[in-house]
Amino acid sequence: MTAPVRRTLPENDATRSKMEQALAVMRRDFCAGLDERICRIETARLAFASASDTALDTLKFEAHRICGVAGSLGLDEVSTRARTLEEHAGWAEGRALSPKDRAELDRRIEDFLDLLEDHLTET
Amino acid sequence: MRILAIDDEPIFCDLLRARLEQLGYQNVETAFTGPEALDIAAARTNPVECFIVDIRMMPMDGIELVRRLRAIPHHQATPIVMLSALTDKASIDAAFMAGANDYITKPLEMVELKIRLEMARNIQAERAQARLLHEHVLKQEAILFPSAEFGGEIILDDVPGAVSVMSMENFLLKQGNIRLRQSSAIGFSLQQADRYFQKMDPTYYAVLIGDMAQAVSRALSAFPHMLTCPGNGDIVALLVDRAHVDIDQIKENLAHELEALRLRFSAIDMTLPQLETGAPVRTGLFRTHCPTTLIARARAAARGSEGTRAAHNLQAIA
Repeated sequence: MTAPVRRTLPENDATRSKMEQALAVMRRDFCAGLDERICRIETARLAFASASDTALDTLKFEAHRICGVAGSLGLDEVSTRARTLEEHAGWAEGRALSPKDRAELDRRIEDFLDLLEDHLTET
Repeated sequence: MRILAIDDEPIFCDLLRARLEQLGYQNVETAFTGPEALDIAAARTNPVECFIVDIRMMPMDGIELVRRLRAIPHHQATPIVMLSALTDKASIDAAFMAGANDYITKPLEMVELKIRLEMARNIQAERAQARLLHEHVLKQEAILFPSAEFGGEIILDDVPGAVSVMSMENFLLKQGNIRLRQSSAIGFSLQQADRYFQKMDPTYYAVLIGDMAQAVSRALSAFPHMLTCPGNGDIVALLVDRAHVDIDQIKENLAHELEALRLRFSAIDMTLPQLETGAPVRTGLFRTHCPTTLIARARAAARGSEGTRAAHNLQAIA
């Protein structure tokens, strides 16, 4: 049986501090590894531009992965934007997109890549 | 509790391990792929006691991994908690159907992780207790269900879609109002089940219920469904995303399945008990009852006209 839950847990300062340190290391590693993810998304973007069937699926998959990890590491904006992109790519999948729709999706991908690059350069 | 967490994101595995250790779970192992997890899960010595499985993985996804884990005899009842983003509703349904017990949403929330793991630990503890009881009783007389009481739940390992009552309740609690409204529950009740229970060895009674559940599962094979056997000779089926079902067609399918079973029973000079089918029950869009009451209402609907009336009244209220 599942009950409604509180969103925070009591922790002592030492535990919190240790966890924060570990999180900071993981966040740094995640940001340092963003170049590979940027590369995969950029490749999917180019494939989408050339009407590849699998491009949107790849895009969704990459955005989904980033959403889960970034959010768990406290990078809320990256996570939220990744989720929005995943949803938008899901919406676009299997549709006959108008040039305007394609341009809108391309713009969203570009914005998201810019955001990732900002985090990459911070490291 | 020995935990195996499977996620193809190494950073997420590190994070999960750190979070679990923070919660006091020190025996945590991680794997990045399904095949790697299956290798670890196959070991009988120091077995894994809880799996945390990401749904979206490549090349083997989490749902396929759950199916394969459930096919390993010593992991048929091991708690499996799925990891998923909220956008994955269809995948979450599929994971429950494949045998998962619960799910945690990404991004990871400490409180949610703590609660889900406690639930998994409870399942594991109940399972360990049942195993001890099982081993103890096997020395005298075999027994298949933990409580050996007429009103106790019967755990079915070999029926497609069979889950524990707790897993079905968890599933119902996690459905939104609209999705819940699109699902329906059907109760099946073994007539004079108490008499059969008194007359039979508990092992054979559990086998009888298992056979009946198998017939129900086959009769429902055209629909995505899960089944549970909460006790008192009842079986409850939850039809996911099926607000409207042709109950007459289901009854006809069931009659066909039971006929095959009847022949088997007559060969050993046993009479197959009647299995009553209740009217499908659903929940209203603006529900006033806890979603888990759907199980009780389905059971009531299967218990003759009085139960059916009560269920119809409840439906009308909902």
